[in-house]
Amino acid sequence: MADYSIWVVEYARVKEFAKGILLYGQWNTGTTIAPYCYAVVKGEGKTIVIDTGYNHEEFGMVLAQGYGVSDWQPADVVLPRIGVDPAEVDIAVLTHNHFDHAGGVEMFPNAHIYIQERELSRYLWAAGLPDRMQWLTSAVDPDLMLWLVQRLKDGKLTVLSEETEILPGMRLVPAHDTHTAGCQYVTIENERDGRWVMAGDNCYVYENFTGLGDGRFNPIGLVFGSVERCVVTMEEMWQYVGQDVTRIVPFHEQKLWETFPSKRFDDTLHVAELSLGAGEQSRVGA
Amino acid sequence: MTAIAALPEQELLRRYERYKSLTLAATAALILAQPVGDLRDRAEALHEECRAGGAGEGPQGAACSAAAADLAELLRLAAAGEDTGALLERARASHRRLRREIWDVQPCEYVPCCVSDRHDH
Repeated sequence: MADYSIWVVEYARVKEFAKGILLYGQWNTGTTIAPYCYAVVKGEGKTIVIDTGYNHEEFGMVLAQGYGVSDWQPADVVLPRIGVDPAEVDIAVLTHNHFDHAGGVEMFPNAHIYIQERELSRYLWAAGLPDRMQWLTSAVDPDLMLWLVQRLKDGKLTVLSEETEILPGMRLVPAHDTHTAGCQYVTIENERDGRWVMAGDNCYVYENFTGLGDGRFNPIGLVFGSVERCVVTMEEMWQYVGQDVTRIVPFHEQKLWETFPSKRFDDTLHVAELSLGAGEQSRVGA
Repeated sequence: MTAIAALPEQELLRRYERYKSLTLAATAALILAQPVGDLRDRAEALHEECRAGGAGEGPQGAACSAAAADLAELLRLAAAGEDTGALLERARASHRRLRREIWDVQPCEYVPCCVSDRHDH
């Protein structure tokens, strides 16, 4: 087993996020704050980001205006808060190819990128469908895909088709046909404090697991794959961490800041410190 | 003097959907080392369609035509086994130019849109 430090950095938020997107079936229950986050993991001589946020240039700016995203900060602002330079990031895991998770990958110029093969191959399938069905690819940015082609030429892209251990104790697990066709989540087995799951959008908030008080999972409300597969994947993650919901890390959960030692910065964005490896100093004054 | 008519909104969106779908499929094929011959033919057909509109379709039509041309050329090189490196940046630039035109008529391309009550789409 290995010894990893884990932080979650908030890089933007949506102040009026429809609850029906976070929780399937909660269509008319108003809005809530949804932070936009990614995880930073250090250990085994590597620095890893799990998802990358998005870049506020070009479509990012349009997105912010039209979609309700505010308070965005780039990686070279939020990562130094935990003592990380984006250029030092060795690995970027893309849990899926949506703009708010994969769209910031260019901010990590030296990172080797990991993505699921199925996330890409379904675009070939979709291209054979009528125009009226192209909603299926509506949250994907062609510009990112063109950039990934270059990344492959540079030897900095690995496409996975099965569960893979990329570092000791760190595995990328396919979650196909869930939130997207080729979703994946990340499991971390830490020597000091046990198991973690970086869920990506396989859950949005803790309530996806704790439900509405009836003891049942309540899956996410935005699914490009199958809701059934979402629930099965939630069970996989739930069992992996011994049914401890705080060991599953959703990237749109504002309760992260009260669940773990955290710090709120002058721009109102947060950092949560989930796990500190041997010899590491707290970045949040804990 | 003759006024330049813009490309009708629905036609612009239709072409963009087709271009976007082809670009996603083309890049996926390049990454996964899949054949691109059919995609090349479809990109060339889209380019021909755009080019047939001519200057009368204004900057939106021109942006469509340029993006489709670069995509078709990228796929032509790939199908011939030639290096596509130099064309990738050009394809990105023409895609961005087209997307700026799209945003004028379709402000919520990316879902889920949380502020649909603030615009007409």
